[in-house]
Amino acid sequence: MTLTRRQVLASIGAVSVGLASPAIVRAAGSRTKLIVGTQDIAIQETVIASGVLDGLPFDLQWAVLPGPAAQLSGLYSKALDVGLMGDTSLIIEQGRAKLDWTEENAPLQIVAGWRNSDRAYPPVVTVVRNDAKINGLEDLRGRKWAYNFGGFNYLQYVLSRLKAGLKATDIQPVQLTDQFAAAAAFNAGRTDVYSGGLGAVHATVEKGDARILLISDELDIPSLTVFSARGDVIRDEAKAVALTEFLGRVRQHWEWFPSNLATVEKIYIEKLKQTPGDAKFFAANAASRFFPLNAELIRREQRIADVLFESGDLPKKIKVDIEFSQKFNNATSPAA
Amino acid sequence: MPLPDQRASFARPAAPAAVLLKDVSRSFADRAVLDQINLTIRPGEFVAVLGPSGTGKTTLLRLLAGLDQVDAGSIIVPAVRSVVFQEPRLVPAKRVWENVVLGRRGAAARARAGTALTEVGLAGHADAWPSTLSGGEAQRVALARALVREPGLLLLDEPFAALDALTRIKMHDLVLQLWQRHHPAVVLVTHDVDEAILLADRILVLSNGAIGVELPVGLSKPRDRADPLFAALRAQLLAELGVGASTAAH
Amino acid sequence: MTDIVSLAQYALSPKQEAPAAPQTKGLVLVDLTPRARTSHLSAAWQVWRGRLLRVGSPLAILLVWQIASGFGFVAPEVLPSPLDIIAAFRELIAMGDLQSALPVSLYRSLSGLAIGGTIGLTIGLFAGLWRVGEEIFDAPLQMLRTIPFIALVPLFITWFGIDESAKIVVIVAATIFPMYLNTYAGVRGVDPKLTEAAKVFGLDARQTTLHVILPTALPSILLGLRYAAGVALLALVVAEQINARSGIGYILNNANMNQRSDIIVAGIIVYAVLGIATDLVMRVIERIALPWRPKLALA
Repeated sequence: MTLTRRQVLASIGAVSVGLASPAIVRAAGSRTKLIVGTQDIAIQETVIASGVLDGLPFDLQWAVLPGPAAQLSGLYSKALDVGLMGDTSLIIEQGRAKLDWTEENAPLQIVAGWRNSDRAYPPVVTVVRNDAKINGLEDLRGRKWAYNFGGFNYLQYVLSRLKAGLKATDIQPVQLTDQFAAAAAFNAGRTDVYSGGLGAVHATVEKGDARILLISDELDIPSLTVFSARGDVIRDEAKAVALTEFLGRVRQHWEWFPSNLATVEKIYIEKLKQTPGDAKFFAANAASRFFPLNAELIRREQRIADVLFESGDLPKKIKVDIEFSQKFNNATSPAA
Repeated sequence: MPLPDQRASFARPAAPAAVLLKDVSRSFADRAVLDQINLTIRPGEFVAVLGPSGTGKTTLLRLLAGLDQVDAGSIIVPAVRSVVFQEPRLVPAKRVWENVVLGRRGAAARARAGTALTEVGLAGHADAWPSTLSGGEAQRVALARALVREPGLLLLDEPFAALDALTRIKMHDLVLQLWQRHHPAVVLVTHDVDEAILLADRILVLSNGAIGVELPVGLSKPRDRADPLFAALRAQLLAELGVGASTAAH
Repeated sequence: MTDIVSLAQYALSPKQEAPAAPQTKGLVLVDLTPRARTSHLSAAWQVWRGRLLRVGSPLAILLVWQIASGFGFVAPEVLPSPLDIIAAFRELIAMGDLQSALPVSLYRSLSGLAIGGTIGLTIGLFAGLWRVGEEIFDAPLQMLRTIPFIALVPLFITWFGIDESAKIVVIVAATIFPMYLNTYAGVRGVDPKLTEAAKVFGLDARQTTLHVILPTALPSILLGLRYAAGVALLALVVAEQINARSGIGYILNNANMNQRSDIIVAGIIVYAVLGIATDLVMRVIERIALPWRPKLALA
């Protein structure tokens, strides 16, 4: 018996020793490597399926890290070269940075931004439940309102509330960890109002239980999804070339996208496990195009930063122009 | 009713001592539990220590075992000592024989354990787990464990207090047999006056940190409780312990 | 006991010549005489009733659940019906997700458990056996153990990157604490009377540890292993947020993001099955490692 007991302990020890030396084989070679973070596998799957990556002159590695916090951590720790997030993430980063960002030291810059340009698929919305009998902005007072902090979802909430002329104390704010939690609360009828992505509540809207009250365009929220790259990646010649190539190919993918919705739906069903109904909506919803990072966009983003400063969410006033690198506009928007 | 020759029979032993305590003191939080105790025990002598609770019986035993240190005085004891505690203190995860030769392994150890267990009548339980033993059996294992080391001094700390009356009688016989065979010096700490008279060559009564009375027991072993001398000794000891004969008589 | 019963029999049967005095004195008596033995038939019925209910009551719950869902009393996004969940399983198996997830996740869990468990065991023994070990490790570990893991993902990415090793590190970190706490408690919980006895019998520190402390602390250590094994599975949900493309935690996270409550429930069932499997494995380990403990009935 003593032997058996020893064997049990010994085998535990042996396994741990065996695993203590994980064989992490890093790709060797002189080819440039670009590590691109995404928050789910959707975009990488459709980019791959579109075939635009064929004959890529550099090594591309995808990494799925859900949530902006994980993306930013990946970037700061140099595990990622490029991360995917909302366009307000860097506003919040800069606003909360201890050191002021300058053109030279900005740790991150947005290199490309995209969204669906069809008004039928607004990126972010404020939705109200029909049983809450909200006929207009004036009826929002005192309501339970679900949203999540950070990003343009939060902005949609803040600007919707401001547009209704209400302070946070005039409603019952229900702040949840992410938009899925906020949507779940709204879909289950626990709140009257929801601000965030349409996708998470579209089924409730389609069932006729809720309707869209405000879309982001009405609040002049750019609501772009963006790729942010590390400053040193942008300055690195080889990486910058690879990034230009990458963004150019993603642009081709966006061109491929609308005429291949059936393929996209199939990917969403099989890989993301969406229901066919959801996949149809999300495929159409995801059809996007790059928007040039130009003065007009920077002006709109500056207003967002000012709003967040006034609402007390940013500790300092910032200038957003250094968050945008216009170096890759040719790759993303050749016509612009 | 003092015995006529009891003081006379107490003489300094000529034989070499197994235990030598000289002016031993031990106090806890300024309370002198033992105060300048002097005690000599001959090799092979069976000494019982009686006394009300809190008079330092256990402290004396712990000093003799080496589990505690004196504050003052000198204490000399045999190198090999064993203790049978009030509870068996067997390692539940070790088989009975492994407990007897605790810390040792191999065929030789096993054989020694077997011999010791045979002596306490538990040869068949060598491979049993302690949790399957009765209280008396567990205490017999503890006895075997104490004796297997061939101690020069065997310390018994109220070892039968938790046993039922019938088992206790059997244990008394067993202890006497084993003592006669191995002949270690024995110090038995007990509350039980009859137990002390049954087993000991000499009985000490501790009171207020000192040895109040030393009584040799001149009866030949095995002893009979019905012996009038037994009764006389009992009455005397009970009186020393502050229990009147009338209250003690049942 | 017997006395009371016999007294009761006397008192309650007037034909006996025993005095009825106890009753008149207001003494309340109870008849503890066994009733007529149950027949074989009714004994067999009791056995079968037990089996039927054991199988039948879960089936009945499933049936009610399915009916409630089928008639639309329960919306599918609130609670998917049993058939929906079976369909979700079919889908996961047909697409190969479940088959690929199990080995990947189990590898991550077991690696993390082996490393974290060994670390927790080592530190637990160190802190349990030596005061200096306790002084070094106990306070930091007690502080760290309350940190919510889900909040650590960004930090873990910063510290350990996004490779496979980062996922295992999450599980390592999660399993250290239950192992540490139980090992430490187990060693500290050894009755000092036992170590005192060992001292009297001349055992040195090494022998006392080997022959008294470790064997006596082993039940607690194995309890720690049991907890750690459970945590190793639960931590997958966190670990597989870090650049994972497969695994049970990944399936759950993905289903969560895409609002597939049927897959979420299917994932919960996978977890339940893994939990039962872990329990069985631990029972076997405990049976082998702790032969001296009284066996618990499996009924």
